[in-house]
Formats: sequence, structure tokens, C-alpha cells
Amino acid sequence: MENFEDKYEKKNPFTVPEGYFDRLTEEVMERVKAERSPRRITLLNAIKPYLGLTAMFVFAWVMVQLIAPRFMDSDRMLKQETEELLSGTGEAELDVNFNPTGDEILEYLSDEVDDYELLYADLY
Amino acid sequence: MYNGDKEIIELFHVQGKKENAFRLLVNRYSEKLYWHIRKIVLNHEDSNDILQNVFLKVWQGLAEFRYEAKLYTWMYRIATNESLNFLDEKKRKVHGYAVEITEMLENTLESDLYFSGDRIQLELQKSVLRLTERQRLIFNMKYFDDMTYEEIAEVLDVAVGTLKATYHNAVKKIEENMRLMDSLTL
Repeated sequence: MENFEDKYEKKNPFTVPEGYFDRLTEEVMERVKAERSPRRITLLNAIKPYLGLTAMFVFAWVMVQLIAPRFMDSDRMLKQETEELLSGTGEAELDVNFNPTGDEILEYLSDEVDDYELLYADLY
Repeated sequence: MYNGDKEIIELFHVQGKKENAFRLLVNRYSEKLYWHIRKIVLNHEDSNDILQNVFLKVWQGLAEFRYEAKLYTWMYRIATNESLNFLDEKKRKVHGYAVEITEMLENTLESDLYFSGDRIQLELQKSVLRLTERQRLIFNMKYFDDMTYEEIAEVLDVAVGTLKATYHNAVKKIEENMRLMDSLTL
């Protein structure tokens, strides 16, 4: 081993920028201080997640208030009409005695169906 | 005046004195640790980044430090692990080929602005780079950092006998590499 050390001078060939070691302690202390000081939390940042959640609930509530009554009303009206039909009360009463003649049916069709549809029906 | 590691740690546990104690510790060990890291990763900027990370880890772990190992041994171990992790990360980027990482480190050495060695010292460093990672680590700690086998054994958790054999083989390999490089330049 002596030969090796004699042959190759044991010298550190690496260098550092000028004044590096003089500044090093302060740099390390600054870094440690930066890591340990808690990040500044603003009021807005703190409540941001809750704001988002609240906005979502408000939106959902508004949508329910706007849309749900329409579905509920139409359901209720349909149910009411069906009940009226079945019970034989109300305006949409079924006329069991309705028995139109052939001429009456033709007259109804000529009023309701146009000529092209009739032609088309004749062809097939 | 606080001279010993134990006193520094005691001061670290005194309320309001934590920063003072840590400053003493950084002052005492930063240069030694820097050179240990620099020999492993070679580049100054990388060494500086790693050293900062080492001290952050020391800061975070010092409150829990219980004199099972010597303080400087513990810090050396952190520095060694951080440096080796850094090289592992580099290896992963070159798909883990040892040859490529050696070439990369050789290039770093040749283009290093902060290398003032002569041709022989450059060749010596290149020869050291051609050792295995473990041989290189042990050689640097013994030869350049002047650590005893016992100290190295504590840091690397390796038996002294194994260290002696590894160092001996490393020196032989370096001499062979140096002879080979000499014959190529003739």
C-alpha cells in the first residue's frame, strides 16, 4: 500500500466555487428554515374545497327545485286523467254508445288524412 | 463553547436552542460530508443538492437520534445512501447499464470545471470509476477520506475483514488500470 500512496500523490483534485464553504452553513440553515416554516395559508385557500362542495350542493338543490315539480305535476295529471277515465267521471269520458256509420268514418278521414296518404294506402 | 457531538445533541434538545445546535453541527460536518458525496457523484452541483438533502434528513431525524451509533457515522450513512440513490436514479435513466453510468461519470470528470488535478490524478480518478460501486466507495473512504476500517465498517455495516480484502482488491485493480492507461498513452 505504501508503494501505491508514494506513487500517486494523495491529493484532492476536486475544487469548489470560491467562497462555497464560507456560505455553506448559512445556505443549509436557510433551506432547513424554509422546510420547517409552515406554508402560508390564505383564508380563500383554506375554504376553497368547502366552497366548491357548497356550490355543488346549491346547484343540485336548484336543479331539483326547477325540474322535479314538472315531472311530479305531469305524473299527477296523468294519474288523475286515468283515474277519471276508469271511474267514468271528468271531461275525458268514454262514450260506450259511440257507433259511427261508414259515411261518418269516411267524412272524418277525408278531413283528417290528406290525399297523398290515401293514394299511398291504395298502392299497397 | 460546544465541542463534542454529545453536547451538540443535548443543546438541540434545549428549547429555543435547536437552531444554534444545528448550526454547530452543520459547521462541523458540512465540509467532510461534502467531500464524501463529491467523490461518489463527482459533480459539484449534484453534490451540493445532495448535501442539502442530507442535512434536511439530519434535521428531521436528530430529535430521535439515540447514541446507538456515533453521530458522524449516522450522518455519513445518510450521505452515502443519498449519493448512491442519486446514482441509482441516473442508472435507471440509462437503462441500468453499469458501463454507461461509468462513461457518464468519466464525462462528468473530464468536463468538470472544478477539477484541478493533473493527468495522473485524472487517470487515477478514471481508474477508480472502473471499480465496482462497493470497491469505489470503500477505496474513497479509506484512501481519500482517511477513515479507519472500523469507522468504514460502522458506516457501511460491513465486517472489517471484508473491507480489508475489498480495499486490497480495489488497489490492485486501480494499479492494473493505471498500467493499461500508461501503455496506451506511450
